[in-house]
Amino acid sequence: MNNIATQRIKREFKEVIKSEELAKCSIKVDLIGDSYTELKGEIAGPPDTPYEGGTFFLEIKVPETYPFNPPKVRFMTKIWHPNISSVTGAICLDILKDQWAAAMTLRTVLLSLQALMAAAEPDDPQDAVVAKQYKDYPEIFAKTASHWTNVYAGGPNKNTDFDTKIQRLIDMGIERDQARGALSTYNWDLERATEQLFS
Amino acid sequence: MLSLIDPRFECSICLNCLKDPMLTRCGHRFCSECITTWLKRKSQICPIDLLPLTIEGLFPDNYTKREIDEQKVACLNTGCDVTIPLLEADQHYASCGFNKNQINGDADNLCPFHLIGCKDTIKNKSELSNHLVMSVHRHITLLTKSHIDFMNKFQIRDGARSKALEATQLWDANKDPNSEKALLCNLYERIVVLEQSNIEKDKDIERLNQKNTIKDKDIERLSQMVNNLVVEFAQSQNAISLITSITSNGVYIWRFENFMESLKSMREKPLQTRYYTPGFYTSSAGYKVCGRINMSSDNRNLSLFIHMMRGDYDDTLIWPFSGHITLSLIHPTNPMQSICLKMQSSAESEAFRRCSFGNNGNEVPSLNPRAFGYTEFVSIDEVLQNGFIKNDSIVIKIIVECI
Repeated sequence: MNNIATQRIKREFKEVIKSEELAKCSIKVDLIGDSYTELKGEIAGPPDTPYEGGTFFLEIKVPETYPFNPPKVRFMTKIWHPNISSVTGAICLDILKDQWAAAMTLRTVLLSLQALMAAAEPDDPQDAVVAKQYKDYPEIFAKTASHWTNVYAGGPNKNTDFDTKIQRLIDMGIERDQARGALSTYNWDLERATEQLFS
Repeated sequence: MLSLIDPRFECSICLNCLKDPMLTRCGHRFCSECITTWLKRKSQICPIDLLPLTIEGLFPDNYTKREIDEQKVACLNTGCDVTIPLLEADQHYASCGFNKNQINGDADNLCPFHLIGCKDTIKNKSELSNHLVMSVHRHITLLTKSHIDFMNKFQIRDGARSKALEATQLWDANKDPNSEKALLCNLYERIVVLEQSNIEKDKDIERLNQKNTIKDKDIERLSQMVNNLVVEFAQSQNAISLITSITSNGVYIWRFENFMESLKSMREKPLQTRYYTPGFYTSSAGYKVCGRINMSSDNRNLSLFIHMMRGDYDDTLIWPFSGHITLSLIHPTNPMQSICLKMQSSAESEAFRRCSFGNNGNEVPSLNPRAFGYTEFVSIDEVLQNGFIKNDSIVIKIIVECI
């Protein structure tokens, strides 16, 4: 990695650490190993959203051309969100693509992601299924996102109804995450999910 | 440790202090290099407000540049009281010797030469003095190097300095092993090592010298002891010969050594040359006698006599001596050829009187000057021709018996 990228990450590190978001435990960046090329980000689910109470981990890869090119960021924690792939964790956010500007930092990226979690953009989706649910069945979306937050990000809201349905599929020999994915996709319609899984 | 920079002087791209600041038409400042790199790579927008921006929209901000050049910051590391130009702050922090304290809270202290690059840490006073003694070379080298760096910075150069510069550059870590410089460097290192070992050798020699002094004293003491022993030995020998003389019971075996030379002396000066045995007693608490050999007056025979001597027990004895005297010249190989003559003491002879004479011109004072024996005991020809001489010695046996 060239000197400017390392130097900048080192400086940014300090910026993130000293920032007041840390006091609220809302965002955080950690080193992975000694190199500054791979980092681990952490975002608290924004309040008054289905993600509240959850902690979401991010994989951050810093390219050699940083800060002239954006860092590569991906959700490591599974999340149900229109702009984030429920399967791979890939993020659709303009500033991580063509709207990146060299003056942006890891802190602004994490804050932007937090903002994205609070205000999804279903018209520019990463996960079309989630986006559709978000638009057509906002209530189911909210419950599903909250359930995923509970299961994968340590959120507080347990949904026994969903758990029962998942258990039904598990009893049929379906793997747990797969069962949850199918049920989420089909708005928790057990029949359609089963149909899809066994077709 | 990174310095805290006034936001006015911070480049939003590298987050460092502005270097050759450029002002955009939208009113933002960046390092010249940062903003040109950005505009070459990406869409032509300002990295901060995303407004359209091209290279033509940049102007050198010399006002800010001057302002930054005037900025000095104090090192934030505890213990380091250096003030550095703002632009060089990062360089300083990269090499600041007090970084360690800051990070680990380590109790270790730094070498006083840390500012010029000595990285050693010192735990206590004795280690410090040890370090200072052992690293004199390194410290001097570092001092020289930093001095020359300094002089170099201000463009002060002349022939001697560039030579010195060259010499210190030999110490740079990245050196080509094949180059002359590397060779010189190796040689220099070698010299340092040799000097070190020289010092150690000197110490060894000093130690050995000390040991030697001790050894010398030992030797002196030992030789003193040997001397004492020699003296004691001589005394013991005297005692032994005394005992022997007492316990001989009147028998004396006279091994006459160096016979030929003695014979020659006897022939040359027949009157002056006489050989005596040590005194011996006829028994314990008996008469003391001795034997004598000299040349006969005709110069052809050996004379053999017995002298009465002044003994320790003379008071208790009966005088004149009365007894038999047997004189024998022993043949070394054939006993039959030994010459054996036996005599009876005579009460009339002066020779058997008690030895109460003073030393009236006799060689041996405590000796009766009158002797008793044979002026022609054996002819010299017989001694020489009949094989009496063995290893240049003849053996004479004297037996003195009391009656």
